[in-house]
Amino acid sequence: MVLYALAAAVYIGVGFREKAVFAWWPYSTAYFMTFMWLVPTILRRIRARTGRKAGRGSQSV
Amino acid sequence: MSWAAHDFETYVIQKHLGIRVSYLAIFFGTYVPDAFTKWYVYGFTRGPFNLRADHPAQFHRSWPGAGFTHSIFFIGCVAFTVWLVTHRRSWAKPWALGILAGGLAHITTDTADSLGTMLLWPFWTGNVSIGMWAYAAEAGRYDDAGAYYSSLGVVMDFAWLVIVLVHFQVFRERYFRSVIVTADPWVWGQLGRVFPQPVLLALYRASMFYGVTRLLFWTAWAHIANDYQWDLSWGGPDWITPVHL
Repeated sequence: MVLYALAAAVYIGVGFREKAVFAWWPYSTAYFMTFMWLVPTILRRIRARTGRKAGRGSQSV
Repeated sequence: MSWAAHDFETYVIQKHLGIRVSYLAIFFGTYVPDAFTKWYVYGFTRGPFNLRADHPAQFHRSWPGAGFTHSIFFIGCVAFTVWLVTHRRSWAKPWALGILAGGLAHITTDTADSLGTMLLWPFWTGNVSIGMWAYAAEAGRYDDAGAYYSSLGVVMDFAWLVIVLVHFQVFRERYFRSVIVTADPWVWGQLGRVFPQPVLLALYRASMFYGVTRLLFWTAWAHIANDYQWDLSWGGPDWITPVHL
C-alpha cells in the first residue's frame, strides 16, 4: 500500500510540473508498470546487500 | 464527457458481466469511442502545425462529424470486426465481448453531460443527454478539466471510485490469476513472456491508478493551484456556457 501511495504521490507531483502526463493514459500505464517493477527490485537488492553485510559481521563476532 | 469514471468502470463491468470476457478488451473498449477523435477535439500543436476541429463539440459528438463513434452501432461494428478478424483464435469471443462492453459503458456514461451521445446513430441522429454537467471541451483541455472537476462530474468520478472500492477483491493477486488471466490466457501468456508477474499485475491495476491519480490531480489543480469556482448544481458549472447542438 505504501508503494502505491508513493507511486501516486510521485506521479501527481510530476503532474504539477508537467500536466501532459495526465493527457494520455499510456504515460501513466508505462510509469506505473516501471515503478512497480523498479522500486521493489531496487529495495530487494538493497536488502540483500545489507543482509549479506550483516551476515558477514555476525560471523566475525 | 466523463474522465476518471471511464477508468474505474472497467473493473466493475468485468466483475458483473458473468461471462468469460477479456479485461484488457474492456479496457481498450472504453477508449474506442475517443481513440481517433479526442486529439482533434482539443487540438494538436507541433511546430508550425496547429490542428483542431473548427467546431470541437460538433466534431466530437455529432453528425456530420465523428459523433457516430459514440453510437451503439459503431461499437457493435468494432466488436464484430474484432471477432471477424480473430474468430479462429480461442480469445476471439472474450475480446469481442470486452470491446463491446467497454465501448457501450463509455458512450452510456457520456450521456451524462450536456451534449450527450448519438446512441442510436444511424437510425436517429439526435443526442441522448441527461445534462448533468456542462460539456466544455470547446474551452480546451485545461478549462475542460477545470469545468468538469468543479461540477457534478467530480461527483460522478467519486461515485465510481466508491463503487470500484466496494469491489476491492478484484484488485487482489488471487483474483487476477484465477479470473482475469483465466478468461484471457493466450494474451496474458504472451505478455508474460515479456514482462515479469508483478509488472503484469501492475498493468491490470494501471487503470485504477490512472483514475485515482487524475481524479486527485485535476481536482487539486482546479481548486488549489487554480481558482475554478465550484458549482455542483445540475448542468453546472454556470461560469461556462454549456454546448448544445
